Amino acid sequence: MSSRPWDVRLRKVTWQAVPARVSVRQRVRLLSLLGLPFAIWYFGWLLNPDRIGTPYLYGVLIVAELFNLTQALGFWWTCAHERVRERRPPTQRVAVDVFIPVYKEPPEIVDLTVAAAVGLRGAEVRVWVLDDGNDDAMRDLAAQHGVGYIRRDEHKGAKAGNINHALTKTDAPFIAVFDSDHVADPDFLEATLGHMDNPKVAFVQTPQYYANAETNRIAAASWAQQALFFGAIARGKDGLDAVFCCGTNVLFRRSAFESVGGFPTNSLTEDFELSIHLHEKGWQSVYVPDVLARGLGPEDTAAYVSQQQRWARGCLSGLPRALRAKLPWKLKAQYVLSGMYFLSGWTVLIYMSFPVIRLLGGGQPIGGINAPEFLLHFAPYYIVALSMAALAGAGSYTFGAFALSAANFWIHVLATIYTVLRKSGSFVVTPKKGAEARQPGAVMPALAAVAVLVAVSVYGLARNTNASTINNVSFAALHVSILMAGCWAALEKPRAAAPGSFEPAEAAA
Amino acid sequence: VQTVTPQEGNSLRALLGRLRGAHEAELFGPRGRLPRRGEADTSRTNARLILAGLIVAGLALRLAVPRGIWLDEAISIHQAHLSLHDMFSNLYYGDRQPPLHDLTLWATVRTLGNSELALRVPSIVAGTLVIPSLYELGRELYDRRTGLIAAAFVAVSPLLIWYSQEVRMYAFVTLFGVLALLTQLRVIRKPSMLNWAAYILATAALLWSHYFGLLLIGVQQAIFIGVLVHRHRSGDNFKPLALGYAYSVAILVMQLIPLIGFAHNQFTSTHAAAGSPSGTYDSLSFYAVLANMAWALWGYQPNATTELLAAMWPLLILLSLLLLGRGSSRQTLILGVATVVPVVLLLVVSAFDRSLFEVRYFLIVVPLLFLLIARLVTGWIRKPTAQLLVTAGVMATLLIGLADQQLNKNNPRLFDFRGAIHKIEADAGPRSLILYEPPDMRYVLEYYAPHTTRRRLDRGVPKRSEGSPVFVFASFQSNPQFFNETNKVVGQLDFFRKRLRAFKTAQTKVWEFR
Repeated sequence: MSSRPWDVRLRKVTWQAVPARVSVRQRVRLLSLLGLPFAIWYFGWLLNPDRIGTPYLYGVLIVAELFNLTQALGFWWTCAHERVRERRPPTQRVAVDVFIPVYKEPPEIVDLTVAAAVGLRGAEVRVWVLDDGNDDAMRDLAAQHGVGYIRRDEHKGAKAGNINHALTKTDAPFIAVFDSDHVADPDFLEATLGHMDNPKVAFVQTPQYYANAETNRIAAASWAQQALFFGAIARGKDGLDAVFCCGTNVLFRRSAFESVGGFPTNSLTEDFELSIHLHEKGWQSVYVPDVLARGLGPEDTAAYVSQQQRWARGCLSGLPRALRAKLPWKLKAQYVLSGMYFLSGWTVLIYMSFPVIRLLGGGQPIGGINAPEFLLHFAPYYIVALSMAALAGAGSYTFGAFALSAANFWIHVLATIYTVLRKSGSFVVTPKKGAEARQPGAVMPALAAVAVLVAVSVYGLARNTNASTINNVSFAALHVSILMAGCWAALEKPRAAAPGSFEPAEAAA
Repeated sequence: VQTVTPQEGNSLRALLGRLRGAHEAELFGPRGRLPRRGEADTSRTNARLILAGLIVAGLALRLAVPRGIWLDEAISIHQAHLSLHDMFSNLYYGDRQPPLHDLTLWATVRTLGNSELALRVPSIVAGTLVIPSLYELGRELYDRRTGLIAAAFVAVSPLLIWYSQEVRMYAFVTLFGVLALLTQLRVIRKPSMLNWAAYILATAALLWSHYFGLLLIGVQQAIFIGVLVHRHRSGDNFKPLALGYAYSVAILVMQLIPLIGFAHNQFTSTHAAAGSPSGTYDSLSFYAVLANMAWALWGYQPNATTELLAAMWPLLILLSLLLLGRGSSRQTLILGVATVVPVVLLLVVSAFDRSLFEVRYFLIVVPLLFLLIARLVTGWIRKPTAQLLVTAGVMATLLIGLADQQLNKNNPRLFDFRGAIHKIEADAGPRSLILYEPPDMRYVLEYYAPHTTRRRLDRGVPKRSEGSPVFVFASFQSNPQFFNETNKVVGQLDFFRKRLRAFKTAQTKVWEFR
């Protein structure tokens, strides 16, 4: 089937999409009973004017803390509405166009994707390779598998334009989209098509699983971030009828597509904006939480950065659109919450700056209190908030994921600035193969932050070693540890992937 | 957690494994399984050799006692010198602990004598036995390597060494706490008569050593119930375990009935201890929690050091983040519960009596905490060399803490009564009089200076004809009552007599008047 019989995408799925025992819905609702009073306890204390230390730093802290609170409450609210949909087989034989948009990806990666698409059961499947890279090897590959091949004369609108173009060349009532690296399970359509019996459903989204998470550090951390989204968050969004399309592993209804004129081509996250259009038109969306396709996550830091930059730019530029959208408040709030996530890098920058300012002799945001008083108010809220992430993610969200995200705080900062300045971005396909050399350049902003934190700590300790200095140096050490953990994959020598024994997906099933 | 199925080559072992039941392997993992990621465990011979070395080192560190007897110890020594009947009577009306340690001390005094070392022998032995017991618990839960690392930590643990040298019951509580957990795990794996007997004995010893042993015993009941519910739900045969558990509960209740009456009388007829290290006694705060955590790991440090250690609390945020997504086995869950819950319960109890949140009262969890750290080392770090380096690093910090605890005169737990009394005796004559504060100091004087004339300071200033020289021997001056009484008497003596000198030893003040 594939030129790489040991391809990781054939391995057994190790992620348990839905926790076996207590549902996330119950977990989060129970913990919220603690979390909400603790949040009120902390913010009631923090927002008291008596807490103001250095006024401008206090103001900045409040903004960061309120942002985090909004994110936390949004997360709890979303997860508390978890809905776990069952697979639903088709009730009638229909035709499905399967689109595999490609743009200069290695043919050996696309090979397995196409082969898997051909093997889809449960419908009259018509597979199309949508080649935007004018690659003859891709044409040969399509011919080899006996599938359709579409190449555009004019490459406008990146992936969105590519799919829109293909819509004009095909006519099946349903369209499945898989990124070039996503290997569909044979029963993908058998699990999703039944949901289309409801004529109001525009699309059925499924998880974007990274099969290389066990063989690559960056892919693992990246997947851990994805797992929280495609786990508790996506199921919660489904419970609020607010699932948005993620661009791959998704089944569309052609009439829904046509009702909004296809994918918007003026966005870096065309799927996000398409979903807003569809929901505005009254279409519904469905999320099936089972892994029904396995792809490849970014294998090096540069690829991760490129992916995150695209997502951050796209979602932040989509924020005004979400705010303007004529949607029920729940839906609008869900879109805004998702978009706002890409502002969280600012909070990392803010929290890192506090020990630096303090150690350099500056002020501190909160004044007139001691550590026990702060901890008495902060610790319960922090513990519950962290436990919520751990329990909602059923252990899938890892320190590696957190560190990778924190170390790339600058992406969010830069994306915000570019968005505010309305600087245009370009659609960059996430590389499918890891680099073979170290990539310090990809983490330079984080390394610069580490250098500043270390230097300031040394300076602070040289001045004096009282408890206040030790406390701020400990904060600096906390940030340095997180940043270095997030940068580590870019700094270490890449290891060659070792082919070895594995449990095939089919056998595991 | 990845588990490695035991080899099926040994038919006897396989048969025993089957007899134990698959659910046990599922519940706690195969006994003595390999460490994670398939690296070979430490061999049995090497483990025994290393453990023997650790026991010898641990014993040597426990035998090196740089301090004298302090107040609580002197009370225990006084009780041990009474007749058995009087000792029980004294305990019943004048103390706040069950009698197991006192009984042992009573026998020790009559067999080994009254020297400081002899009096410390029960604690030293119990404290040293914690090392192999924790190794065994680590081996039972995880593997030999984890057990060895945990044993290495407790061998040099400053706090455990401190209480292994104290003529009090805390080393007993630690030892029997570890043994209670160990025997409970064995009972869960194999509910044989022998294992049940060992479990019942260990919990009884724990219970009769200190009332706070109940904190762990309570957690153990929850563990039993959890295991029984789990087996019931999964359709396993839970009846043998349930039957044995019912017997053990019955025996526990039979012990509790007399003990509750005993304790009730003790607590209604006595008051709290005279004093505790600063930071814990005055108020219950996060600082008190952090300070006690720092002490649990690095032993009693001067207040300035403790303050700096507590200021490092942001590193706890790092630890909490590192735990994200790590998952945990049922073993670690049980160990974590047994470590955290007693401390939390004690915190709750401390809301009613703030003096109760003190590290010595949850000393029982300190070895468990070290076992968790050992598991963290073997579970999170892949390379054995790196494991060794991290273990050595942790031990180095413990040894620094130990040196500081044992030698620094600013240790808040150090009361140098021995040094003070030796200086008093050097100047004392046949007409000398020692006024002491607080009143329980009489037991210290009874031990170190049995032939001197002495009197409670709160009985007033001696007449001019009474005693010369007069010594005021005072401690616990952070207690306002004791401070005021001492200040008043010293002032009066200053007025009526000539002050010859005044000197201090650790947390002790002496004034000499003619």
